[in-house]
Amino acid sequence: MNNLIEIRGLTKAYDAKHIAVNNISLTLPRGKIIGLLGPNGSGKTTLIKMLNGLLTPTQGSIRIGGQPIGVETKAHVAYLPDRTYLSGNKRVNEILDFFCDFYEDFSRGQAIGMLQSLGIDPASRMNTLSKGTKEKVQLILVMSRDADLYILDEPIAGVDPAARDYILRTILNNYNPSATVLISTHLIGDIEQVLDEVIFMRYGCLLLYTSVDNVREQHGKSVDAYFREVFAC
Amino acid sequence: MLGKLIKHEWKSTYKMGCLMLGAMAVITFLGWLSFQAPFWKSLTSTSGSVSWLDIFSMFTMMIYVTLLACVIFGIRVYLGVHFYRTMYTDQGYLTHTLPVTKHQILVSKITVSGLWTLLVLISVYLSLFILAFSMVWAVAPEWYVPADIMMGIWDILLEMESLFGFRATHFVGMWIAVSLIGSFTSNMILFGGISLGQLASRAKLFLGIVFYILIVVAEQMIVSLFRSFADSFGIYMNLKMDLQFIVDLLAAALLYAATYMIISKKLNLV
Repeated sequence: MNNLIEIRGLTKAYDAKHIAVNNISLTLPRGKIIGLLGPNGSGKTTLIKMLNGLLTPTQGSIRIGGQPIGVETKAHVAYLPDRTYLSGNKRVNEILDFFCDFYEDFSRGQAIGMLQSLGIDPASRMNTLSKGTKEKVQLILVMSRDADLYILDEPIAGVDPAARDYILRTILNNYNPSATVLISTHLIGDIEQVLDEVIFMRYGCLLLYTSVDNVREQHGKSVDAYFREVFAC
Repeated sequence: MLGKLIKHEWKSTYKMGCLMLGAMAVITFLGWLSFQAPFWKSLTSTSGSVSWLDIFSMFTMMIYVTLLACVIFGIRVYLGVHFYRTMYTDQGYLTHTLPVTKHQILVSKITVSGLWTLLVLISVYLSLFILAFSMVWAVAPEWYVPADIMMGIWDILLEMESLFGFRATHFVGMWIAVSLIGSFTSNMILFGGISLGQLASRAKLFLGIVFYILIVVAEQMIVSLFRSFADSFGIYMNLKMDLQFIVDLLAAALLYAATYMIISKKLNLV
């Protein structure tokens, strides 16, 4: 089965006036790096939260690897939220223990290797690390898993260009090639070179789902330039 | 997975729990120290006179009672804040994406918070016993025979039994049950209140606290209402414990179901 994610008629309405995701149907394959793109308020984070079981859809369904969202899918999805979700009181190696206990696909050796390459001491407490270093620790935790699906919500936002390069290299060098990586970002120019496919969202609706090559061939533009044209204010 | 959740929940709360137990030990020592002052011995002597040290010992006793209340209140506040942080703030992103069921998450939190509450409660009882015995020792050392004191307390209960139709064994049994089970149900009620606050669109934590207070007040009103049917002091005392136990259990069961529904269907981490 080549399809990894199957979304059917997915809607999330917070109330009658606020429909964050509106009747989306989408099938995403395995082994691709997919950019989830759209302006603020387009429903990207809501869609990501539903994929991770953090929000319950108002209507429609999601299946990952043929399973509805639940314990089974969470065991195979590696999620990087757009915020620091680790307790500041914990040491990095305590967090590694935590991930080892809960995720069978987590490689402690791989995580230690990446931490060492960045000069991050596993004995340091999270609240002693800078914002950028915390983000790198979180990325290392996610990319040290041999997951079927990696969902990265704004992984390069708020970090310097050198750190962005490191993050992109980490994603490319560590993800399981048979897995799918779904990246939500505003910084399209920085990640365009790693994307296979793109999803454009606006006002909670699916605007476009195509390959990066298609965008370049059909519109004669980079994804970044095409995004600016489509979402011009 | 439940065992792993309990292990990590214990690891993330043990520092504060141990701090509270350490504080109880220090408070108990201070209380014991206050009974070593000459004032207490002067109560049974004819030449007693009050000095600054005596005033100090009285002051220490007041501090003891206040600190005792602070520890009991403190552990409850800490457990509530810990639950809120790990379930409904940024840390909730990790909690709710773990490959575990919602029931496992809730059970691990209730188990660990209940165990801490129980440990603190036992330390409070222990502290009160130590203080009571210290007081007897300070005021009337000739009466200080621990076994006799315990028998004396039991005799008083039996006396009440014959006078008021009060069932002493039933009362003590229910008191132990309320302390034991109540350590867990009281935390579930607290977590339920906090979770109900999540249904609001704003001021969720504040409303969670308001819900908790309202639930506790409602519980006490129900207990008082049914207790008012008691036609004797003995039945009144027995009924108080029985009702408290039943109402606590029912409230905890209802709030467990409500919390489960909220984290399953209405979770909305900002």
